[in-house]
Amino acid sequence: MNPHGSVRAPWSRPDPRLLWLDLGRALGPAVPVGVTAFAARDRLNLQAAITLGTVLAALAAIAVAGLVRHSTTRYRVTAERVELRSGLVLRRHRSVPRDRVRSIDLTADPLRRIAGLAAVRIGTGQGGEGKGLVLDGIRREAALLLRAELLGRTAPAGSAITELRPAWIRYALLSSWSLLIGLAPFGVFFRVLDAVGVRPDEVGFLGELWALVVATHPAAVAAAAVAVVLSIGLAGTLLLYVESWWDFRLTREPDRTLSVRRGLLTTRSVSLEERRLHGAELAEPLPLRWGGGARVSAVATGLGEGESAVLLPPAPRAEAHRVAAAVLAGSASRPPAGDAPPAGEAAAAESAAPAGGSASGEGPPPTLMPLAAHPRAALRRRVVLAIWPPVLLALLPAGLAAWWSGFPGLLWTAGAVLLPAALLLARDAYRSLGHGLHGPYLVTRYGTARRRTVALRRTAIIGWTVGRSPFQRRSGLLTLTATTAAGRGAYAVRDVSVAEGLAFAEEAVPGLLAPFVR
Amino acid sequence: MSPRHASPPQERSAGPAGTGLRPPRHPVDRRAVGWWTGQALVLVAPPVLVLVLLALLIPPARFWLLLPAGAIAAPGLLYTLVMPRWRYRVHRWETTEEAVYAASGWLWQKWRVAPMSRIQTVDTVRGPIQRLFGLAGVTVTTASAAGAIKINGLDRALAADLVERLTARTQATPGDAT
Repeated sequence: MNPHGSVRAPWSRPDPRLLWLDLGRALGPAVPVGVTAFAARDRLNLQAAITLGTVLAALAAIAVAGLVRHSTTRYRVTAERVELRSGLVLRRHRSVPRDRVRSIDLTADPLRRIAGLAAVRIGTGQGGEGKGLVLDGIRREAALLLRAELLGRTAPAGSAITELRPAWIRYALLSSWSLLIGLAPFGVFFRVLDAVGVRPDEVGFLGELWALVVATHPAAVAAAAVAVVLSIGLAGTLLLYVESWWDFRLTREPDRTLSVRRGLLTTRSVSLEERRLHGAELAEPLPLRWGGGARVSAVATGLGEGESAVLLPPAPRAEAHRVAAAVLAGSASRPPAGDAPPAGEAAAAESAAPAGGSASGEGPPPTLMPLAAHPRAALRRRVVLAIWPPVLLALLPAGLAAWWSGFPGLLWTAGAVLLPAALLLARDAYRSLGHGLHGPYLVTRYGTARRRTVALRRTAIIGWTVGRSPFQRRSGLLTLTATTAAGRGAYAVRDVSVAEGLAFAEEAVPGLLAPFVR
Repeated sequence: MSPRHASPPQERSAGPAGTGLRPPRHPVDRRAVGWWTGQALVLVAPPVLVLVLLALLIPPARFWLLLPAGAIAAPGLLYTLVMPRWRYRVHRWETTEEAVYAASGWLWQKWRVAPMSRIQTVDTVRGPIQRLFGLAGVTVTTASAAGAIKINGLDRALAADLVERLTARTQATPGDAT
């Protein structure tokens, strides 16, 4: 079935160019470090000498390891399996049956890209033992061929579901990571100073900067600091967005596989068979929600540790709903999967048939359907939870100020100021709550800092968990959690009334919970 | 193939679904109260004992050592007395032809259901304290990453028997467990 399908397929070795890349990467940084060490040999203190020596030794070890790895690694693709042998002392022979191959990822960092090489990551969709393997240092054309061969298709002739539009980059600015990215360079800078044993006040320009800071009004300093951190952070998130999502394409391949391709410096591609897709999740972190954006990720089984389930980067909300609907419509229109679906599930599929039929085109997105609101008690619970932190924040400083006069008494106003914001968040959290059934999907929505709308296929539900806290028992609420093999493993309908929750569980998966309801 | 999720007639509720989940049929072993008490003591006793010991050895700091000791001991004692008995009232389990059903927790309570067709493995677990009381736990895993159903505090022989029955039952039930 494939051109070189004999069991005695020859073993191939990685392209020699990979060896030069490996050596270059290890020895390249060694040159400046070595020159520095040589030039400053008389003025090095012990700590700096140890640090530089360690760096040089580590680089040498990396170079040797690369040499060994390169000279011992062999791989081959036979009719039945992909095999990889490597190691000098600890010889490893790993093989993956070809029918277990679930995803092929081509990655190429800038160096490999210049050399025309790629690494092929073969995923089996399982953690642990059969985790899959990485064939590194394959010529790009050969890698593309290999990918097509292993996935059993020739050319990517898929139809695009969505592509990156340049205007979407504005949503990158709404990332919640900007602050962290903005602070990171400063942290790294001082860590490096510490590692080579330089005290910050010995660095000339830092001293001058400090003198300037002391001479300026604190408000101006704070404004400048915020501006600097934010501009670094925003530039960082922009670069990250461009690097991660450059040339992003989500396509549906003819063989019922969803394929995501993206990346500027490292090209990443993830293939996801539709039969492993059991739903979709629309996530709206608060800043992104204010900006009218959303992200979409897949709720799928067998995605490996490093494999991303993201189906759409931060993009306009309407586009997110459209993509979620298109992705789900494809997987819903196929015949019911599974080798003998239990009776209850067959009934679920039947009762879902009319709505499912209408969704098989590009019907109304399940993530957009009107959801049932939750009882007022759920709002009460959120308000109570929201009141506590500001009240504590107000009472604690007030108490401390009464006890010790030196304490800045005005701090209690922080709590008073935060209270309305907390109450608004509580109301928003309550209004986010919702659940419903949409054809073959169970839809649940919750969260305020990161609102998630999850559509989970009802046949993928493999159990229920009903949880009740003391508050929920008092106010007649429960949290109904559907367990599933896909995605995060459990998706909750939070704070629904007891009667409604149990009826909903019964409607979603008939017969599973009913024997235990009185 | 018989309808797998259909319930036996005597379990059908009369009215519409919704007055709540009924407790699973079997309680756990009475000795579980002792086991949970032991667990609570392992958690609470060491810090209290260390503080009291230090208070005996260092007279000047006695008050400042006995104060936190008391602050830990009082709620700790309450926890040690209340939690095991409360848990004993909540923790229950049952297996039917179609599913495993178990309740656990005390303040925060959980009822979990997994159908036989989705069960992957059934194991016994016996921690050191649990073994001391002649008890064992049964862990029922499904394909979900959200964790297994755990039935703890069963009589050792009963747990072994339950594992055997569940294993036989899940093997007889078709399905790919995902």
